Amino acid sequence: MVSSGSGMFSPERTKQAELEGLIAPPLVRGRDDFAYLTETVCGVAEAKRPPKAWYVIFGCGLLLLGTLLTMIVHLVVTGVGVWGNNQPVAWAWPIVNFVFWVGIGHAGTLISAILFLFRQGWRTAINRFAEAMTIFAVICAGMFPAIHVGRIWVVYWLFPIPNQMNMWPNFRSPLLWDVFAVSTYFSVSLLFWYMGMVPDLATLRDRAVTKMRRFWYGLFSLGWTGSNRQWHRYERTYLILAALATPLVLSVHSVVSFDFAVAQLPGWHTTIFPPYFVAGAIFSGFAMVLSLAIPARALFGFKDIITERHVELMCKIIMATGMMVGYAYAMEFFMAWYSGNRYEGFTFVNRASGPYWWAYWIMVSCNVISPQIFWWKKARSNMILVFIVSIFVNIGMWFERFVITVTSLNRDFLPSSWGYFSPTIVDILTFAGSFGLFLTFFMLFCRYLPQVAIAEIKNVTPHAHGGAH
Amino acid sequence: MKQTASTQRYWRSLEDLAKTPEYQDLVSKEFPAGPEEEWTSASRRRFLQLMGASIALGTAASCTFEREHILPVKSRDEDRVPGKPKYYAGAMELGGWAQPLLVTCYEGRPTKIEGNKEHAESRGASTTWAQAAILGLYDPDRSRLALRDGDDSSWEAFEEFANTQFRELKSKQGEGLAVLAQPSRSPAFRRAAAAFRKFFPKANWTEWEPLHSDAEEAGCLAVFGQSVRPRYQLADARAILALDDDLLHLRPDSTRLAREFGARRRPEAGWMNRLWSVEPNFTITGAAADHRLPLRRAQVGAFLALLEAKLVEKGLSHPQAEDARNGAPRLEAPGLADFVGAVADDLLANRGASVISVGAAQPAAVHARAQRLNVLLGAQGKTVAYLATDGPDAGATTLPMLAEALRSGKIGTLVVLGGNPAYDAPADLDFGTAMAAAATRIHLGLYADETAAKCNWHLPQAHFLETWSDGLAPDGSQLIGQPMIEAIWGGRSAMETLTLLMGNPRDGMPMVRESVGGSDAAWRKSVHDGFTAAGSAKSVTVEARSLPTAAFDEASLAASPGALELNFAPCTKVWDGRFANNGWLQELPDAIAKITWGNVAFMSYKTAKDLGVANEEMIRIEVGGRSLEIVASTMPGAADGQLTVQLGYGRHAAGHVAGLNDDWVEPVGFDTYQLRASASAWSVPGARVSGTGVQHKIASTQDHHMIDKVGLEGREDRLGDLVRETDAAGYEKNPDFAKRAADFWGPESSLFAEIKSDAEHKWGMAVDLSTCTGCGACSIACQAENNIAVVGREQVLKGREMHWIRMDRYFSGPVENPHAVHQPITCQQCELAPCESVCPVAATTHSSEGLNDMVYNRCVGTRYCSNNCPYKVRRFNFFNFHKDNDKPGNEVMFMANNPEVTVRSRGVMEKCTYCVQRIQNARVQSKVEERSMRDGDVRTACQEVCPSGSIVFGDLADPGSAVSQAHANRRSYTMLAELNNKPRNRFLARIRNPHPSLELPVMTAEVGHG
Repeated sequence: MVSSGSGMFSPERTKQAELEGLIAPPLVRGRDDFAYLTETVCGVAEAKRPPKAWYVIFGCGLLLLGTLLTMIVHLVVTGVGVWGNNQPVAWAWPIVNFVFWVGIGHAGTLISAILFLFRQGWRTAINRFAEAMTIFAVICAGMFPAIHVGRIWVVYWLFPIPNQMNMWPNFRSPLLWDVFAVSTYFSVSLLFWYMGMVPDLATLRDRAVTKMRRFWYGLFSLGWTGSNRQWHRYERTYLILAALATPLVLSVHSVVSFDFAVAQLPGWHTTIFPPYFVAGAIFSGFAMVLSLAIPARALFGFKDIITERHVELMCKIIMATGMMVGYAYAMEFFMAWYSGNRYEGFTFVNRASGPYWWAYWIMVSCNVISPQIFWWKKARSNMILVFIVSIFVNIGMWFERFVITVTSLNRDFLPSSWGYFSPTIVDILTFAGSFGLFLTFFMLFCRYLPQVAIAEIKNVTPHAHGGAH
Repeated sequence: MKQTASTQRYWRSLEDLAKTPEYQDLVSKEFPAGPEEEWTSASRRRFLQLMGASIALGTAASCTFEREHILPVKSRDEDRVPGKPKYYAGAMELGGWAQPLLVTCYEGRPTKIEGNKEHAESRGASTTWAQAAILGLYDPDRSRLALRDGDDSSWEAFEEFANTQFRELKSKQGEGLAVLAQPSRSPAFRRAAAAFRKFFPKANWTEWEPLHSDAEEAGCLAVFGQSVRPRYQLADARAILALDDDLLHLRPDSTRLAREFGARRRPEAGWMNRLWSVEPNFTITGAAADHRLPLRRAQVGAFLALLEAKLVEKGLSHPQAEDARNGAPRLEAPGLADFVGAVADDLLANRGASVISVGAAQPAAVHARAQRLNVLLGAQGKTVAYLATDGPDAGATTLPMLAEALRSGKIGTLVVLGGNPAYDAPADLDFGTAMAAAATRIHLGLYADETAAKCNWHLPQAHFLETWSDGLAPDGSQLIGQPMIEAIWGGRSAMETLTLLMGNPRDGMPMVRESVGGSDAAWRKSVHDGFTAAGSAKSVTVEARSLPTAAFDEASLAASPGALELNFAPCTKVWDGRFANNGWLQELPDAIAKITWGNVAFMSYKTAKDLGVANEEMIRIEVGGRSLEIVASTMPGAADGQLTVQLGYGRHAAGHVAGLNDDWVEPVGFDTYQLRASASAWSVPGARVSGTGVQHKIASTQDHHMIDKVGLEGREDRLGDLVRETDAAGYEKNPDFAKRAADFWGPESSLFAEIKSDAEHKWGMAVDLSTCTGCGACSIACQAENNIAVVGREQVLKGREMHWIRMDRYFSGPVENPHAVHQPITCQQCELAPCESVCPVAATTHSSEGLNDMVYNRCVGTRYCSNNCPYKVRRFNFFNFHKDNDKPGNEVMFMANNPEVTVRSRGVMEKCTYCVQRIQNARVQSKVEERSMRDGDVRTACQEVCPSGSIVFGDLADPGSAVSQAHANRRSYTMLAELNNKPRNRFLARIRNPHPSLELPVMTAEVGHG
C-alpha cells in the first residue's frame, strides 16, 4: 500500500507529495492514534443522547414505517388490487422496489468482500456502514415479493418445505431461484457483518459503564478476548467468508435479472441482463452508501475517518459503473435493431418515445449523464454536489427498474392487450414506507453499533505503520 | 317428510309465536320476500324453511348456530341423479320474437342456456341476451314483493283490490281502463289479450316497444298491399346489400342469418357471398362487409334511389323505370359513384341470388322501394321469402294517443303490463307525468323500475325461465317455454296477470296448453322439443305495386355544418335498457368500439374536429328543445355530420348495477331517450352540439383512442402477421398465403425436454376469422359457463376485466372508412407453455392431453405467468370479485354459478380451460356407454353459442375430427409461431370477397412465405 510509507515524511513534505500526486493521501486524517479512533466511534454509541438530527430522522423513519405497516394491512385485507397493477402490467411498483432495494444491497458485500480480497485498504472506513445498509436494504427488498403475491398467506409455498401436499416448488422458475439467491445473500451478508463486528462489540463491552450495555454487548461479542489465537481464527474466517460472499455479489443480481431475462417478453428476454444488472446494482449501491455516508460523517464527526478521499474513490466507482450501465442501455438498443426482431425493436422505440418516454429519459439523465461530472476532481470533493448526484443516481436507478418492468409489459406482442399503468396512492405510500423500514433500522444501527470497523481501520492508519510520534 | 321430536316441538311453539305482532314484524324484516304471500300460498316445504329459520334466528339471542332443516326428497324421480344436469327446451321472447333455447338445470336450478339444436332458427346457437338471461333470473335487484304505494304488499292483497276495482270496471265495460302492453307474438298471450279486450270492450289497449320495426311492415304493406314481412335466406345469396341494417346481429333472426352468411365465407366451400353495407355508424354487419359505405341515415334513402337508377340504367326492367331514372337525387360522398356502380353490377350479375335488407331505423318508403327491388331482382322465393303477418291491430291505440287520453283524464285505471314506459317512451309524450293523471296505476315488471315508482301498484313479474309461455320464432313456428324453476319471488307472467284482472286467475300452463292445442302426446312432444310440430310459416307470393316517386330534400342530403343528424341505435348489449342491470352485458365490450359500462355519442373524427370536440369530452346535444350531456367518442368509419347514440342507459331505478337513485348508485351511461321524440324515433336532424370541456373516461377494453404515433406504427407493422387475411383472388393465387416462415420451420429444439404424451386425446381448437362476426356471444357464454366475475367500470378502466375469451378488434385502412377485423382470443393452450415454466409453485401445469391446466388451489398469485404469456389471456383476481354475493339479500346470485366450475376468489390467476369440465363429462359419458369419445362429444361453451360456427373444438389425435381438418386447412396459422410455444389454437385466415371493380386494402402486406 502506498500510504504505508507516508509516515517517513514530515507532515509538510507529505502534504506536498500528496498535492503533486506522488503519494496517495492517508486514509485517516487528524489525530490518527488508536485511542482517538476508538473514542470517536464508540462515542456515538456511548453518548447519553444522540444528536438532535438523529431524533428527527429516526422519527421520520418510524412514521414511514407505520405507514408501511398500515399499507400492508390494507393490502392483506383487501387484495393486491389496491395497487395500480393490471393486465398487461401484472408486475409494477412492488417488483420495481424489490429490484431497487436488492441493487442497493449490493455495495455492502462488494465493499466488504471483493475490496477486501483486493486489499483495498480504504474500504475499512465504510465497510461496516455499507454492510449494515446491505442488510437493511435486503430486508426491504425481501419484503416486496412476499407481499406482492395474490395470496400472501400461502407465500411459504415458494420454499421447498416438506408438506402434506407432497408438492415441491417448480425448480424451473426464476422466481424460485430468486428465493434462494436472495435468502443466501442475506444470510451470508448478515453473518459477514456480524462476524466482522465481534471485536468491536467487545471493545464496546469493555468500555461499558452501564449494566445494560455490559449485558447486551457482552452477549453479542461472544466472549471475545482479543487473544492471538482468536485474532488468527478471526482473520481466517473473515477471509473465507469474503471468498464465499464474493460470488454472491455477482450471483444475486444475476439471478434477479433472470426473472426478466428468462421470460420471453420483449425488453426482458436479453442475455445482457446479468452483467448489466450487476453493474447497475453496484452503481446504485455506491450511490446509496454516499447518500448515507455524507450526512453521517457530518452528523457523527467521522470526517477524519470517512475522508474526502473515500468519497472521491466512491465517485470514481460510480462514474465507472454509470458508464457501464450507459453502455448496456446503448447495447440494448443496438441489439434490438440488429436482431431484426420487430417486437424487440418496437419495445425499445416505445421505451424512448412511447407513453413512458419521460421515465426513460429520467433514467438516462440520472444514470448516464449526471455522474459524468465526476471527471472533475473539484466535483468529486464537493460534498454537497456528490450528495446531490448520489441522490440522482438513486432516482435514476429506481427508474431503470421501472423502465425495464413496466415499459416492457405495457406493450408486448398483441396490440389489443396494450395498456397503461398508473400507480395508486397505496403504491406510493408502500414505497415511501419501505424507506421508513430502512431508516428505522439504519438509525438504530447508527446509534447502538459501531459504525466504523474500529479494529480494521486501526490497521490502515499511518500510526499503525510506524509513524513517528 | 319425517317429523322428528324437535320439529314437533317447534310446531307447537310456533302456533303461539306466530300470532304475536313482534313475530310478524320479525318475519317481515327477516324475509322481505313477502310473509303474507308465503303464509297463504307457499308450499309446505317453503313454509317449513321459513319457520325453521325464523325460529332459529328469532329465539337465538344466545344461540351460536343457525338451525337448518334439510328436507330429503322422499322418493327420487325416475331419472333424477343428484349432480347430473337436466336439459329442458325453452323459449325467450325479445322484441316480440321468441328464440328457441335449451336450458341446463342442476337440481331444479337453471345455470346455463344454449340454443335449441333441433330448431332451424338456432341449430344450437343463441344470442348474447339469451346467454345473459341466467344472470337476469338471479338478479337480486329483481322485485320480490308486490308494492302498494311503495310499501310492501302481496299478490293476495292485489287480488283483493283487483276484485273490487275491476268488477267495477267490468260494469262499465272497461271504460276508463287502459292497458299498456309489450308487443308479443305469443299465441297464448294474444288469446289472453283478445279475451281481455272482449271482457272489457271499451278498454283502451296499447302496445309499445321502444325498438320497434313498424316501418318494415308499413313499407311492405305500401308496396305489396299485403301485411307481410321479409325473411332473408342467405344460404343461396351471393350479393347481399344491408342498408342501415345490422343484418347479422340485430334482426330477430340474426342467429340464423349469421350461420347462413358464415357458411358462404369459407373459400373451401365453393363460391363466396359478397356483403355490402351502407350505414351511419360501424356495426357488426359493417365490420363483416366486404365493402362498406358510411352515409348518414337520411342519405340512405337517396343512396337507394341512386342504386335504383343505376340498376335501371344497366338494364333492370322496372315498372316505373322513368321515375327511377329521374328520381335519383344529388348525393356526394367519397367513393359513392364507384360503390353504387359496383353494387348494381353485383346485384344484376346475381339475379335471384341477391338480398337487399333495410334496417328498422329507415322510413317505410325506403323499405318499400328496397322490397320492390328484391322482387324485381328475382329474389322472391329464392333468397327473400315473404311471410304473412297479422297486420296493424285495428282496435289498438298508439302510445301518443294513450298519453293524450291520460292527459284528458279519460283513463282512471292504467295497467302497464311489462315494459318501462316512464323511462323509454318518447320524450315529447312525457309519459311519466301523463301517467299520473290516472287514479289507479298498476305496473307489472321484473324490477321496481322507473315506471313502478310512478304507480300505486307494482307487481313482480315472472322471469321467462320461471313461467309457462309460448312465442313465435322468426320463421313463424310456435315455440314453447316451460318453467325451469319455481318463481323465485312469486312473480306471474303478463298473461296470468290478465286473467287475474278478469277476476279468474289462471295458471300459465293450461293457457299455453290451450294455445298449442292437439293431443296430449303431441303436447308432451312439443314441450319436450320446445316447439310444435306445425313448423314454420308458409311464405306468400307478393306483387309489387307502383310507388309514389321518391322526393328528396336536397338541402337535408347535403352536409350542413352546425346542425347534425342525431341517430338512435339499439344497444347491442342492454337492448332497450331492459337488460341494464345485467353485469355480464354491461361488461361485454361493444363489438366495434370495445366500450363497456355505458353509452357514448359516436361521431367521425372529422365531425369531432369540426365541432372542436375531443374524444372522451362531455358534450351537450340540443335538439327539438331538449338537451342532454353525454360523452363523445370518435369512431373510425362513422359517417360525417351525424352522431349516433345508443339507447338503454342512464337509468335511475334499474338496480345496483345500472343505477339506483334510492341507494345512491350512479346511473351507468346517459339517458338518450330524453332526446327521442315520437315523430323521430330513430333519427332527428338539426342537432346542435357543443363541447363542455369536461373529461369523462370511457371504460374501453381496447385502448385504441389513446394510442400514440409509436404505438400506431408498431401496430401497423405487426398486424398483418397477427391477423392474416387476403382477398378471394389472392387466396386463389396462393392458398398458402397465411403461412409465414415460422410455419414452415421444423420442430425447433427446446431447452427443456418436451414431454411426449401417449394420451389418447390431443385437444385443440380452430377459429375461423373468415366467418367470425365479432358479436361477442362467446364472451358471455364463457362467462356463464365458467363463473367468470364481473369487475365493474372502475376495474375495467384499470384494465382488469376478466373475460376468458375476448374479441380483439383491429381497424386498418383510412380512418374515414377503415375495415375492421375481429379475432377471438382464448388461451392458446401452448404445448410449450411459457406460463408453466415460470410459475414458482407449479400452479399451472400441462395435462397429458395437452391442456394447460390452472390449479387454483395451488396458485399463490405471483402473476409471473401473465407476464410471460405472449397472448395476455391470463386474468387475475385482483380482489374478491364475488364479494357482493355475500351481502345479505344477494345470496340468490350464488344460484347462477355452474356447479361444475370452481368459483375463484381473490389472489389467484385464471384463464380459459377449453371447458375442461365439459371434456370430463363427455369422458365419463363415453365410459358409461363403453365407447371411446367421438368427435363432437365435447363442445366448448364458446363453440356452442357461436352463430356462425367459427369456433371448432375437438381431438387433434383423431385425423377425421373437424378440428384436425381445420388445422390441416391451408388457411390455418398459429399466432406468434416464431416464439415456438406451439399453441393448440389455430386461426383460419380471413378471406374477403371484394368486388373486382373496387380496390380493397388488405392487412396482409406480405403474401407467401419468406
